[in-house]
Amino acid sequence: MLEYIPQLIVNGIVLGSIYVLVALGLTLIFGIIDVVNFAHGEFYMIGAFVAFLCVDNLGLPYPVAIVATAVIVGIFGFLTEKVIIRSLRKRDPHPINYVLVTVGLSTFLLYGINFIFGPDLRRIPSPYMKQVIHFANVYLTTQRLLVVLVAVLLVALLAYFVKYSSLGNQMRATAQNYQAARIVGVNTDRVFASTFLIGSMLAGVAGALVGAMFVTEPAMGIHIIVKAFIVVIVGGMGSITGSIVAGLGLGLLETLAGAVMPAEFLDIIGFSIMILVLLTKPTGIFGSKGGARA
Amino acid sequence: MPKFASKGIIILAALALPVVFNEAFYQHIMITAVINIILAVSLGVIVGYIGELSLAHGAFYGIGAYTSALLMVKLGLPFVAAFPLSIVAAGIMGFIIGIPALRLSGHYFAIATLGFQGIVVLLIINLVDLTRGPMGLPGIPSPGTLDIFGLSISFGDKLPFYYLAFAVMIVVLILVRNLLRYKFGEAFIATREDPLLAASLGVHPRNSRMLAFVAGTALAGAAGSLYAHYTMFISPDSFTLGESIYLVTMVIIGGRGTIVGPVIGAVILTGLPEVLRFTGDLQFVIYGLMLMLVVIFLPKGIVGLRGRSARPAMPLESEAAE
Repeated sequence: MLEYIPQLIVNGIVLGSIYVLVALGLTLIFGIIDVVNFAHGEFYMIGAFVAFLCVDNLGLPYPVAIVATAVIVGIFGFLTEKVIIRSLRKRDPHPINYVLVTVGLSTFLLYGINFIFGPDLRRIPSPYMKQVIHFANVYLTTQRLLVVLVAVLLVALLAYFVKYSSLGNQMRATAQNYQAARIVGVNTDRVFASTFLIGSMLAGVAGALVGAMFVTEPAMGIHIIVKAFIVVIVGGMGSITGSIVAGLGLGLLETLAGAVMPAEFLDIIGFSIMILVLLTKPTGIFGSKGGARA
Repeated sequence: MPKFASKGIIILAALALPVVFNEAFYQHIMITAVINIILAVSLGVIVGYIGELSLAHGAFYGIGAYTSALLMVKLGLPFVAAFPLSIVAAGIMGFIIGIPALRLSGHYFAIATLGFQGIVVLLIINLVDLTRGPMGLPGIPSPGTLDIFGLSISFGDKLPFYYLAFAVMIVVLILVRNLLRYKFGEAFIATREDPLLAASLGVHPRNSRMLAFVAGTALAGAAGSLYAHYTMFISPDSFTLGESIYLVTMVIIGGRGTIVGPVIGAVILTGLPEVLRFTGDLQFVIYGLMLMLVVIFLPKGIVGLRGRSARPAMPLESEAAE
């Protein structure tokens, strides 16, 4: 048992990196636009399908397909904000309406993709699935290593972007005080659309990575969105640090505890932790934004 | 008075419907519609009157169905006992879940109920000894037969079952109307519109929210019991998040904040799949699209099309101040 622990920790970090990538987009969109995007899992699912089509139909190399996926899903998120979220914001921006409209979008995309491609399980052909790295008694496909590397790279880029770029500054200003940001000349509409672009892009890339590692299917978004909610609630809605810590934590917990108990109980534990955090500290461990009302 | 007459005509028409269209297929759709009306109206109490979006209504529906089925299958209780107990069980679960969930609001309430929905389905799947898990529970008895005046009416037949479900639906509609019309209704609306003002007027927001939530979940239990004894087979698949979203769609498309709205929504979303049968899964694509369009362009739903306020405007000062 003990000799498997390094392997389990490595697997946990891989799983956690996926959670971090998906949760980051969700938390970023909430932190800045105050919208909980229930369709975020479907952006991830669409990422997997876009990457699949790029490799399988267009014959693009897998790394190129990932970049193409980032661009396409990013544009898709941008348009979602511009068309759907914006028209709601101008009409009736009650939190429940955002939940409803994104639940509607999620259903639309899930069954739309299901209608076009069918519920079959596919896998994006990736050359990295065949290469296995071996050190000490830990085995790892290059694909898994790629997941962690991409996650680290994107997290670093996002942190740098939010902190140092002009648009990043405008994002932080909008998150802190929407009205004040507008007054000092921030184009908040542009900030909102860009935020959706970046958040969706992160989800899309995660989908392209996971779709090669596990399976690509229309329902994959439902499984991940539930985990992403757990991560975001525990880490704190709107907190980037919180998502990273809680995402890696959940990934490690699931693989380590998963070695000794069935996966279904893990899901019950995950939900219970989420509800417990909602009750005791609705802002999450790292959250500070006053979005939660108890 | 004409309003009363029009109601009477609608009820008489609904009673005559399964006799006029007496094919089993049509009667099946009518029974499904009646069960969906009970579900949508009960969810409407939560969505429309507390102003919170519950994504766990399918779970309460399931709790009612499993309670009723297991009481009859395992303990051999008669339907007249199992039916009210399924309402009580769903209501008690609603109370237990309401304690934490109602402390939250907005998207946090939606996410918490999403979590509860997940937990309930996982429990149904994993308590294999009790529920037979993913295999589902077969062999659920029908509500039995009723002998009056030498006539023997079997509720295993579609026509009598329709009238049974219809009677339950009428009782549910009257209960919900009375609940909302009198003191509690004003308290819900006052709380929804302005919690602070309502509290200052002596309304306990937490109590009135809890009452509405328990009432809504308990009535979902009644729908669950009817469903279990109608289909005689239940499995976790019927009570998933997808079902909850489907029910929310009924309420929103029909019109939140009213009783008629969820009724219309339930009828449309039960009838539409039959019209769209040739499209297969495309029907859910259409629901998703409808939900988005209605939320953005028609926030009061189909009921709001009539041009007057879909939300019953009630004066805060009158009874809520007591």
